[in-house]
Amino acid sequence: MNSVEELCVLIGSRITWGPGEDASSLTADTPLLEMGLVDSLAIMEIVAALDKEAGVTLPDTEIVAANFRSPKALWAAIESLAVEGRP
Amino acid sequence: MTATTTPRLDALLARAARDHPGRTALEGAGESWTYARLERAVDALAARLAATGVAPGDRIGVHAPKSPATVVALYAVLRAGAVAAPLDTADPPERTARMIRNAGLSALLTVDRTLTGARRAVARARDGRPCDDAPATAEALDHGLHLLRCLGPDERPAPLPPPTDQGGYILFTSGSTGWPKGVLLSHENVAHYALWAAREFGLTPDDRIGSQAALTFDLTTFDLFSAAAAGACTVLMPDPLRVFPRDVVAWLTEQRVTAFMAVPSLYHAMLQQGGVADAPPATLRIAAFGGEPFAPELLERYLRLFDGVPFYNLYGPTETNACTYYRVPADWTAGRELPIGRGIGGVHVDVLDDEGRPTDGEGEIHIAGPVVFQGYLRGGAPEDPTVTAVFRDGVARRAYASGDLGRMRPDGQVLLRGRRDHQVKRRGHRIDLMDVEHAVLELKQVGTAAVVAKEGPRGPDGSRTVEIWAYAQTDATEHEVLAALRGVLPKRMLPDRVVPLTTLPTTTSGKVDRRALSGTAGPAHPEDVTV
Repeated sequence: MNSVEELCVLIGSRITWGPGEDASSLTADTPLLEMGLVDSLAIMEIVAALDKEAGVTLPDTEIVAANFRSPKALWAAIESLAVEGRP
Repeated sequence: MTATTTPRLDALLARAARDHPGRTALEGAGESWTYARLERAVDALAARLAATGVAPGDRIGVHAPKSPATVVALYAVLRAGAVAAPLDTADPPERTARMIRNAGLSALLTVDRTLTGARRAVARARDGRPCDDAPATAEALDHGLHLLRCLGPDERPAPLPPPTDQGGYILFTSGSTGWPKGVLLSHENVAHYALWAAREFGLTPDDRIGSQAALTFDLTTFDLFSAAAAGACTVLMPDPLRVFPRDVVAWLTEQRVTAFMAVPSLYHAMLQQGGVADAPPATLRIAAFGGEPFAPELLERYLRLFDGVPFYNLYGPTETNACTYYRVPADWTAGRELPIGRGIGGVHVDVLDDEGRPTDGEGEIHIAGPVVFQGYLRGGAPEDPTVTAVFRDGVARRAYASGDLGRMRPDGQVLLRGRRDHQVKRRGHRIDLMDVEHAVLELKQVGTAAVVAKEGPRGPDGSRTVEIWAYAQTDATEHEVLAALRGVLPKRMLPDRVVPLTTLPTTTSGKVDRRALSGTAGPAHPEDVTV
C-alpha cells in the first residue's frame, strides 16, 4: 500500500453502498464516521484487509475513532506505524 | 385503575431543578448544562411548541444525533404534554417514513445536520402529497432545532386514550409485518422503572451516568430519567465512539463515569479489544447490563477485575422497560446459572404454560404492573395486545406475554430460555426475521425469499453470535441485494449473508423449508443447499 488513494479503494470495497451511492464518491477527506458509512463490522473488515492485503497490522490501541475519522486520518496512522516500526 | 403518585418524566426534571439547581444535569458535545438551565430551556421550548400548535397527545418525533439539544427537545415535547418518539438519524428515510406513519407523528424536531434526511423521510411518509398549511421551510427554534411538520391540522390521527392523551414515550421495535412497531409507553411506565433504578443503585447528585447507546434504545431511559430522579449528571458519549471499544474505555475514565448500563456485546468488546483489564475505570461503582446474555467467562473476569462493583443483570422487552433484575453475587462463577432475577418493585413476573397456567417447567414469561406499555401504534392508532392472566398468587392481572421462554426456580428467580417466535437478538437489538424477510421480498429483483437465523462462529470467549442469512430467489448478486436492502433497513438488521438461489427448498407441504435453511452450516454456498 503506497498511497491514500489505494487505501480509499480498500475502504470503499468494505462499505455496503446504498442505492445511488458508490465507492467512487469516497475521497481522502470523506468523514467516514460522521456520515455513518462504517459500522463495527466494516471496521473489523478494514482492519483484516489491511493485514491480509497490505501487510499492515493495526494494533488494538490504534483502532480508535480518531484514526477512522477519514481515509486521510487512517493513512496518517499507518504511516506513523511504519516509521515506528523502522529499526 | 389505581391512583398513582408516580411523577411525570418532565416533573422529575422540574424537581431536580428545584432541589439541585446548580448541579450539572447534562454534559456532551463540549457543553455542560445545570439543572436550572436545562429546566429553563425545556420550559421555553415547550411554550414555543405549544404556540406553534403542538397540543397534548400529539406525537412528535425527535430526529437528531445525541446531544444536549436533543435532550432539551425530548423533555420539551414531554413538557408540552405531547408524546416523544426518539428516531435514529442513521435509519434509511424509508424506514423512518414507516415509523412516522405507524406512530401517527405530526411533526419532527430535527437539527441542521439531519434536516435533509428528516425532509426525505417526511416526503416519503406523505407519498409526495404536500403538507397543507405547512410552511415550505422548517420552523427554526432555539438550540439549532427545527420543527418539520408531517401532518396538516386536519390530518391529525384520532386522540390517544388516557393516560397518553397527556403525553408519553414511543420506542420502536422490529415487527413481523415489515413495519417497525411503535411501542406506546405512558409517563408512569417509564418513570416507575427510572425511579426504581435510581433507588436500587443508590444514585445521588454526585453520580455521573455514562450514556453510550442511541436514544432510540430502551436502555437510555435510565440514562436520562434515573439521572433526573436523583439529580445526577448524564454524560452523553459522542455517537462515533460507540463502535470503538478502546475509545469507550478511555471515555469512561476521562469522564469519571460512576454508573454505566450497556449491552453485553459492548462489555465483551471492552474486555477483548478495549483494554479495560489494563485500566479499569477507577470511579465506576455500578455496572448494569441487559438486552442479551453475557458470556459467562467474561462476566466472571469482570467480577474479579472490578472488585466490589456490583453487576446487575436487567431484563425486559421494550414493551415493559426493564422489569426484572438480578444482582450478580461477587463470588459468582461461570459454571453457575445466571438468572434474570425477579420483578422490580411493584412488578409481577410469572411463567405460564400454553394453557395460561403458572408452571414450574418451561413456559412463557408474562409481565404485569406499572411498567407494562399501553399498546402498539399501527396506522396511528394503538392496539393493546395484553392479556388477562392469573398469576401463581391467584390474582388476575393485565399482563404482557413477552414471547420469551423461561423457567421459575423454587426461589422465585427466573431463568431465560430463548424465544418462541422468529425473533433474534443482535448486539441487544431485537430483530424479527420476518421484518427482514418482508424487506427482501419487497425488492423488485427478488421472487421468493426466506430469512433465517444461524449460529455464527464461536468467539474467543466460547459464546456464539447469531447470524442472519437471507435466501433469495433472484438473478441479482449478493452485493446487489445487500445494496438495495441498505436503502430500506437499518444496518443492525442487514443480513450477514445473502444467498441467491434459483428456487428455495420446500417441505412436503410445499412451504419453504426454513429448518433446512437454518441448519445449513456456514459458510454455505448455493450448491450446499439441497433444492
